[in-house]
Amino acid sequence: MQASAILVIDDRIAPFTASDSDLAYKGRTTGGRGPIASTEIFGESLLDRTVKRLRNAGIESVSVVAGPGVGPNLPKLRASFRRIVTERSYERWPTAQQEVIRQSAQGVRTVLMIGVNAYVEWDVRHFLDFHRSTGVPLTQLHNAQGPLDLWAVESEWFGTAAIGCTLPFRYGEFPGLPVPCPIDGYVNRLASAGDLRRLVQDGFLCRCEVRPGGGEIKPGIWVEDGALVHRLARLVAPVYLGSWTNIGASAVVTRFSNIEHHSNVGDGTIVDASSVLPFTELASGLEISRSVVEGNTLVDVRRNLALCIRDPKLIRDTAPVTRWGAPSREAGRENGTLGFACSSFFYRAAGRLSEVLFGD
Amino acid sequence: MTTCRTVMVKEMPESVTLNCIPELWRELVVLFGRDWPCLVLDFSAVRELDRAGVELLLRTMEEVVKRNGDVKLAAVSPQIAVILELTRVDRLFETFESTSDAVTSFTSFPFAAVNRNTDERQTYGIEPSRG
Repeated sequence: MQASAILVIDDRIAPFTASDSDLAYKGRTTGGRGPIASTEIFGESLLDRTVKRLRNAGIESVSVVAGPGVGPNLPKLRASFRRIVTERSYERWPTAQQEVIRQSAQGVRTVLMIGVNAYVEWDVRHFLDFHRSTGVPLTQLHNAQGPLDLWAVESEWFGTAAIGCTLPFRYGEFPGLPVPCPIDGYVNRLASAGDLRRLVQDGFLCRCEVRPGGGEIKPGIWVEDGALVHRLARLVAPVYLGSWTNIGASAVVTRFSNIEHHSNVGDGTIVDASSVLPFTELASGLEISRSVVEGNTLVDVRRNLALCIRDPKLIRDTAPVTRWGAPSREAGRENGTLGFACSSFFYRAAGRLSEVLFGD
Repeated sequence: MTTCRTVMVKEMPESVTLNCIPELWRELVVLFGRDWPCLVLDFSAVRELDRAGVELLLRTMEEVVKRNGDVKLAAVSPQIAVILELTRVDRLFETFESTSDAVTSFTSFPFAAVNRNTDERQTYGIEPSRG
């Protein structure tokens, strides 16, 4: 066996900025939201895409070091990668270190160590060829903005000379290492909600390999299986609707918005230049603009502000206890979807008042 | 609660949620229960606003408008501003950075609004008409 990959997933919660992560974390519902690696864009997570890229390059041995909430969302892939669960985030890189030593004993020559926290389009074969051609034991991927959490490591060297090092690798720990391998492919570091929105827009505009899934029912409108769109709802291209989404009457979804699977948009709600992540329910009569909504947390991209909304009659997390299962639509309705219709009275009243006062 | 000339300023509590709505509504009814009420709701202390709170604002606006008055909001935090935008009620209320600005706005010409419009014209590169 020549090369393998070890993917390390930290607990950075998507899609929040560092400054707002504390608020976002405290406000999380018990349904639980995964790290940024498991955030799904166009029906596929960052972890999915990374594993696929490795598989396409012929790397069959893939290990994922993650927390307990990550992994089962890969039904097609989980049978063929080794999943190592560590409860605490700080234990993940030392665990990866032990995994390199284990793989070295099994005869793996080169190990790709990847921190799954950014979307990177890179040529795996080219990176391995570059690493081997330099003849050094440690190579790191770089783009124009700086180093990325992607290393190629010689497992034999790692098991001897680098046994006491701290991971992820830091510059200066080993003289002259790691050697940078420059790439000019598409990179999105997903450091904030704005970056996540940029990735969605770039996907719609074909600037990267991320593409909306499902069928393109009209130019620029992609809809996955099981999505329900009310006949009075308006979809203005480009938009993406994931599987089992429900768009209510008179709702408007527009301007590069993506509604991920099992999410509901209430009657009359406007989703404009926003991302609604899986298992999110928006009540009737709302206006979501330039935001990322995940569960009961809304991130305003313009203000760079994460806000936990505790009122379930506005925004609600509908993630089931076994989040990665496929909940029935009837179950969703029993949870109170219809209750939102009652609250729409006041928002219609607001609209009327607005018309009377300001002639909107 | 403080009163400044005929403009009434109501300091809103930290949490404008379902639990405190009845009491808050009783206090507000006293304030706007006359003709031409000028009401400023001071949001500087507000940290939490839910759907019931938004409905309270709408009802207050409705009652005040019936009496030919006006309601303005002051010192709205970015978090609360997000909720107001989300529920589309932000466009119903004039908001000011401070209570004093809001109070002054009842008695003075709205220069701030004029300046804001001028700034927008400059931003979009539109020359004001000379005719």
